[in-house]
Amino acid sequence: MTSRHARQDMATVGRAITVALAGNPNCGKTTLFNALTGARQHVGNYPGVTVEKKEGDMLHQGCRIHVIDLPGTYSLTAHSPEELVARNVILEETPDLVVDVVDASNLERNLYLATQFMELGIPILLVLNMSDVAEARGHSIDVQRLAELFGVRIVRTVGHKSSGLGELKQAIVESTGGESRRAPASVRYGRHIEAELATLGAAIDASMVVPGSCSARWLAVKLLEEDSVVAEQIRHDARDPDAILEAAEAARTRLARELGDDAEILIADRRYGFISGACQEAVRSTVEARHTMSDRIDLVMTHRVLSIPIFFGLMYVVFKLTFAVGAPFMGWIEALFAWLGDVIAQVWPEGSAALLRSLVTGGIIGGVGGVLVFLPNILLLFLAIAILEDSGYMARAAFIMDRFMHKIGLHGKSFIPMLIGFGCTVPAIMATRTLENRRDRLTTMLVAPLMSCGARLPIYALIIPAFFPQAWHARMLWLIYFIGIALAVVCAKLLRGTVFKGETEPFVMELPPYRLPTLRGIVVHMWERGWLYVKKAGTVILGVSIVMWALATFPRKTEFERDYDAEIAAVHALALGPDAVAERIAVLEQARQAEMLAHTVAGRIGGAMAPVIRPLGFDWRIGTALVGAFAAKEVFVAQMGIVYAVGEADEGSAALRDRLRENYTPLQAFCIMLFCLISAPCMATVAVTRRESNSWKWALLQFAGLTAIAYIITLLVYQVGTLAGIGT
Amino acid sequence: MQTVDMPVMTDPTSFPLPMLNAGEAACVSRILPCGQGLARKLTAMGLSPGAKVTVLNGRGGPLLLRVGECRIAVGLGMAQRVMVKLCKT
Repeated sequence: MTSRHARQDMATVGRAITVALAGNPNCGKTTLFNALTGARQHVGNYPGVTVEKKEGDMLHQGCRIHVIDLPGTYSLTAHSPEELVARNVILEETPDLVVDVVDASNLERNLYLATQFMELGIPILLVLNMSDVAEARGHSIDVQRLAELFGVRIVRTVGHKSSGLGELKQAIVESTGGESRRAPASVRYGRHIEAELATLGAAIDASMVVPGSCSARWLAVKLLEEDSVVAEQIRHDARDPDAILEAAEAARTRLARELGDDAEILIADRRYGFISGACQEAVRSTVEARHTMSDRIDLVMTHRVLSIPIFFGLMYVVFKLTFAVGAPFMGWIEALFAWLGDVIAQVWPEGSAALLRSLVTGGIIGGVGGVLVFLPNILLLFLAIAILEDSGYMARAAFIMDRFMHKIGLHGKSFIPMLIGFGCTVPAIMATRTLENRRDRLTTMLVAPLMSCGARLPIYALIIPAFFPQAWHARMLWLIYFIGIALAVVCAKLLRGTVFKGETEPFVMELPPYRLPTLRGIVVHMWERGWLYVKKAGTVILGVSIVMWALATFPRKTEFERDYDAEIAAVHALALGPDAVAERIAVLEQARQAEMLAHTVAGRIGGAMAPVIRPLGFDWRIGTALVGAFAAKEVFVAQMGIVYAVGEADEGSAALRDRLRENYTPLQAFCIMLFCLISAPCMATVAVTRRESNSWKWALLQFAGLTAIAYIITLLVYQVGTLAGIGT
Repeated sequence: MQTVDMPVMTDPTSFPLPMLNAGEAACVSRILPCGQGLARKLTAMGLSPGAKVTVLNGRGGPLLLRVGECRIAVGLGMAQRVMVKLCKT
């Protein structure tokens, strides 16, 4: 018995299969991918392009199946990085099978992509996803007949309910099992085009070695469609490229003359004709196309007048929720770090390894703690965005915002990265991938940091309560955010008028039907972005905090200008009340700390910067803090704590607030916030900008530009404010 | 080199998409060429020759279209290049 099972298993054990998962955007491909691969997936990048590479693994019947989740595409032309990636994965990595996920409720359009895979000649398996929606809409699909007409195997699934998964896995294993597969049907393009294809195909075959993953016919079709990438390939690989390319050009001209239209249009037309014919046979629709529930909701959501207040209302709710609901959690984390600080203070006796202790409490707990406190806030924002995206509203928001974005030279789709930017700039810049036009994309990337991110919140939380009365707190915060947005608008317009002059990409976007988001979906979605924030905290912030701590501690001064110990003893000798004594000692200690600090690297840098930043109202201490903040904004607060020798400071530290109040005017405080708002957020932003724009030029422009604008504006505000006597 | 004039099928009965009112439908005749392969993309998204397209929203700003089972939003400039004509019933 054991041996029979063993033999059965031997037939399939260890077989490695590679599957490419393809489909239109919004077809439920990602849900299916998650269901198939579960936690065993990872995201990377395709070299040279900023298209995400998502891969995962699964096991079925002893076979190890590697799944590559191709980017969602409508077709396989050479026109967008996503399509090229999808195409190249198939041509270069030659997967054993393409699993094309088709939205059954939108069958004909989804099958357009399928016909192109079929033409490539690669083995293909169709997945009819969302078949429940199709049925609800009154479409009844004869899967058997459709499979016959297309010559492919079809599996039905309902992605978000995980039904049909087992059958899909089985089909994948069987389809790559090596038994004779039926060849998929081939779209016939009509007498004239077929004749041209035959000639062209033969010429290609004669002139080059056609890669195994495609066919001469496919190359010929692409040439008729004026595919630039295939033309390049021909130039590169064929023995006589010019002859072939000229023949293709001649063929196109002939077809245009004979059939009255571009070959490309004719080919597209025939493809749809094939699909339409097959669907007429295999699909019965009982109800005429009618207004669906989605459409009814859209009547309100995209209404010319109503949509704007609804939109702003939703945005208000989102932000209110993130701050309100997040507050208790923030309190817990604050308490946790405070407790941690206390524990260390108790357990770690004074004096022993004092430096290390100071590092841990001031540098690490202060720096990293300050960042993680805002994690609940940020996660809630990303959760809200995930809900808006998964429900389908986000696409409507981009549609509504397009009217305004257009006026400042941006694209409706720029709205989403900007919204994400209020949480963290790093995922915001990554979200610009949805912008196909490079100019639109770069403009959005450069102004995204002006959306005041979560990292700056500790700074505002420190300064606003210290300098402004309670009633003004909310207003001041809104003012800062608003300045950021207004500045972004101005900068975008400026950039579009100068560096990125040109037409905005026309707005073309599919609006997916409204859907009830699944809990799992939104949590995964939220965590994809939230993780970046945490990772940044754990790596960059931690690193920078340690470095800054070191810079602000070394070199240590041992000989002082004044003999502090003697002066402190003298104070004790005076017959003063305990409060007065404590006060004077505090002043002396502060002076000592100041001298020590001025001696350190950070202090010296701050001192050197002082003349430059004095016109802004900043002194060397702020300069020192800004040095650290250049690397990561969150560090600013901890740095201020260090320069004011308050030890482990966070934005809730009353002691630090008092010190600030003693030393600065409200105008100066406002200028600090202004400068922090506008200047480049953090090194992580620069790094991700470089990666997403594929050049250092834009990352440096972003950094330098923002810093310069910050300087100029803060300068103006401070000088004008001082002259006018506001807040001094 | 002799340039061959490609006879573009000018259909006197076709008109640009934005001329439709909210709720009206027409069939796609052809999409005028525009840069960046957008005509191709629209075709791949469902606006193929002969496809029935219904305008869902009112004038001004991007158009919301129903094509088959999909809803596509198209900016006005782009929509101007989609030539449609009344469907043969």
